Amino acid sequence: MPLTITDFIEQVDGISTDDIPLDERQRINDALADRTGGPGGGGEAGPVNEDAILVSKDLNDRAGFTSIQDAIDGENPQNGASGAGEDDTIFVEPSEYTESVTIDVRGLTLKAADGEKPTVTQDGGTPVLVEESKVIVDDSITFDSGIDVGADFSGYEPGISESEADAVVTNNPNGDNQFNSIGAALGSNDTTVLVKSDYDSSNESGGGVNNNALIGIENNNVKIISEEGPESTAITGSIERAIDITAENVVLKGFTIEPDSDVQESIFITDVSDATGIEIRDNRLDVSGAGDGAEGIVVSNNVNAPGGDATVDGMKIVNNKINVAGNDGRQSGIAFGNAIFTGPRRGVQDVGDGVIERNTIIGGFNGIQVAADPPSEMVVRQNLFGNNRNGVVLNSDVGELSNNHFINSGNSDITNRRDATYDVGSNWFGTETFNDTDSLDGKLNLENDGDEAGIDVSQWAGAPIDPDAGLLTTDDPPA
Amino acid sequence: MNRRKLLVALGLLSGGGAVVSGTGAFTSASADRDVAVQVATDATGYLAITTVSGSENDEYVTENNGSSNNEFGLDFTSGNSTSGGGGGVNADAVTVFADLFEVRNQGTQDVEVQVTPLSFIESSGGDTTLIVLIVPQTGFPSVTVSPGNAETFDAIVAATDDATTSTELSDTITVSGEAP
Repeated sequence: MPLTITDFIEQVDGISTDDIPLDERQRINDALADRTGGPGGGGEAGPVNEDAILVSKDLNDRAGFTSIQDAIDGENPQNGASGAGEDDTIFVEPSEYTESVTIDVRGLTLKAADGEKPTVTQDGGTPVLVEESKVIVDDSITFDSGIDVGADFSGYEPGISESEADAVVTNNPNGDNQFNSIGAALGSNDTTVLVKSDYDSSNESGGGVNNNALIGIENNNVKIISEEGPESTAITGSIERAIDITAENVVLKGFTIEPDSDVQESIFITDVSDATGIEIRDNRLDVSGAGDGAEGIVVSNNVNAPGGDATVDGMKIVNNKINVAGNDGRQSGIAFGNAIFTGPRRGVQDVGDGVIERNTIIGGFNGIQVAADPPSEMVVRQNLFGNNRNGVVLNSDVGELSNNHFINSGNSDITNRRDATYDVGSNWFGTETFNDTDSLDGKLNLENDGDEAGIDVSQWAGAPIDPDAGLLTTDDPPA
Repeated sequence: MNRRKLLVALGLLSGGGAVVSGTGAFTSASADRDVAVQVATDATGYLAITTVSGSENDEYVTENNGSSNNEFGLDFTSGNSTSGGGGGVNADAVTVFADLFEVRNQGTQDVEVQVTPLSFIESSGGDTTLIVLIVPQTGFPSVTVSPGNAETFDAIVAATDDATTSTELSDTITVSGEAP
């Protein structure tokens, strides 16, 4: 019964092999090799027990499958393998798989084995379609097309335990390291804050630029993480902005931020000269009930304090659902600078190589607006844009624009105001629900003159919406 | 399944007992008979949890742990020093305890034996410091054991170079047996 440490990690929620240092993995696997006949070593270290469901192009006499769909369906098993059942996990070893995957097993998790990311490239039709509930398609697999997109909170894990946190925020604090507000917990640099689900944002006393935010994050190297995720932990309030970030290495993870009618931005990031460590992840930002001009995430030079610069270089904005629909004066879901006020007023000094990945952005004037003079290497991929007037507006070049899904844009899916050209073939436009490929004509605006450069939009007809990406129905008002 | 607490304590300081118990999946009966039920020790219950005969690692297995029923436990700490004077695992090392304990079916039908969890990971400041694996010898993660037979378990304990003398782990495992 050969085993590796991955077989054991598979049994534990919230833990991955990445949590174990490589040299430690190797030593443990060597010990397991001695006791169980496992392969040892720390390299591939995929699961090898007979109950793990393995997909590999090189099974080498191991039980498993050579395609992901076969593993789901239990077809063509090799060396005595069994297919997936409810709540099982399929491990996919590094390789390129050319297939379309339909997941119809409730609770199935699809994730990569250790090593390089596997890539799935569709062989026509849908690359991955989820037809059952509680399915997790892990970020560790790259789907080389646009249907595995948008935010998904179903597999939320905080990544830390209460004992690992420096401070705990709860409505009933009891102890030296417990507080009733995030602001009170952020007293110094290098602080990890775990926020319990009974958190009450009315306990916040305000902060940020000119003290105009409900919460001001001004200390470096802080992590603010909700224990139970955005479905259970909410920040609400009535002030100009919900959260200001004016510090480096800030992680904000797992909140619903739903400001009321006085708020302009859910998250405002400014006065940051190094954004490498900033991560906005797993949040649900709903400004549909906020004030005129409300936006989801804005990174900008500080309009209130001229001279305060901002950069996006290295920033990660991942797996957030941003709803701007319903706001009378709606603006952008995510904005880097402001197209109207470029330059020192509301520009961004450096867009750099930030990552905007797997977000769902609904109902904005612009889904994502990039307004900065220097060309950038920013990656914009696997986002779902629904019912925005414009999906992506590029006033600055970006490095990658791939695997996004644009649905029901009112004016354009992509507006490119720069000279760079993009291969948008890996993005998806339209859906079978809206069947709007006809209305795509004239909306891609891929060149400065608004011409789609001869792209045949019919290739995207019939694309389904990724069901785990966010709520999109024909009842949503078009932009 | 009958869940009871097992404490695994290891490291270079505090001691801790370890208690395991469980029941076999033995069907109930209803008849006009006198019924006598007696709680047994872990070693003599229908699902017996014991040291492995002939194993040299029986010193890491404890009994009692505050219970009057001789409940079983694992203790790799200075609170359970060996006859050779050792008390705790080495840092920056992997320690293997082969043939540590067994779960024996002393009932009358096959049972699916499972120990959960089979792994424990302790972290400090974001760094993994201590990893404990409970390793079944023939079936993973569970195994069917017929009457009179047993599944034997090893333990592998890895303390990283980030571990210190204050590193410790105390937790609970459950041994269960259910009819397959």
